[in-house]
Amino acid sequence: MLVRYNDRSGFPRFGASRTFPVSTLRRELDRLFGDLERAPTFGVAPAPTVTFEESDAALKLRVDLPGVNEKDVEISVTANTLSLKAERKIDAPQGYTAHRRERTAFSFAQSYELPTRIDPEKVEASLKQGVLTLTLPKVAEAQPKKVTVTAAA
Amino acid sequence: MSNVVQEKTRPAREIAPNVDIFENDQELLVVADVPGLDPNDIGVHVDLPEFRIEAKVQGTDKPVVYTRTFRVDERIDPERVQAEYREGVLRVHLAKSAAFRPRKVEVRSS
Repeated sequence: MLVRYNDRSGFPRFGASRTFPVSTLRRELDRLFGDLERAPTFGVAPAPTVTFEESDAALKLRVDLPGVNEKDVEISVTANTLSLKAERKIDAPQGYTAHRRERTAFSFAQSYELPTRIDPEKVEASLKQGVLTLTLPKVAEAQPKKVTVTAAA
Repeated sequence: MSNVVQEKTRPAREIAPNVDIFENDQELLVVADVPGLDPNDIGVHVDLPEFRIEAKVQGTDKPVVYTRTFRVDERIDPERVQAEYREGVLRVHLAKSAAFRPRKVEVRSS
């Protein structure tokens, strides 16, 4: 599956490692509090919803980016990694008073290690009605081959 | 004969989209993050005192319904509601009835 290698958020799972539980615990606590010291506020940083699909021929990614202009989206790919950056600016309309402000500006950056090799030259991306769709075609070697079974005489 | 009726629908995931609500002399402006919609699938219902946004995302594996309901007061004119959809963001303009819009009163000197 798709692995996020720069994801440092979330509560650490203490039971994850069976070796050296104490050092693991200390490391996880250091990480947890280190993150808290760095973050100026509590609360969840807004992150867009990302869904991922895999077919025989390609990997497909769907990212909800309402209110993001295509100029503010940056994508870079290699044969096995994908980096996404997107920024949303929110400006209040002039001359209005605000009753509710739930929509926040965000600056989203995420890197993924891809589960198969893809062809970076054939990657396609489109942003339509606030949804970014990325198609990452697999290289021929990564596509499944059907093996025919022949009956032995 | 056991499967005369086959169900193809799957329960949709309901999402309350994030909104901004603004007001000026003329109107209330509701801005909602509802990405991936066909403008035809967006329903904006004004049934005073209720104002509701409802929309269904089609064509994905897991259907998603965006819905959000607010109470607005009688200052809104239900006949004069306008909505626009761009970049996955819905903007609904709820105009105030003429009687509740401030009118500048001229002071005449005698």
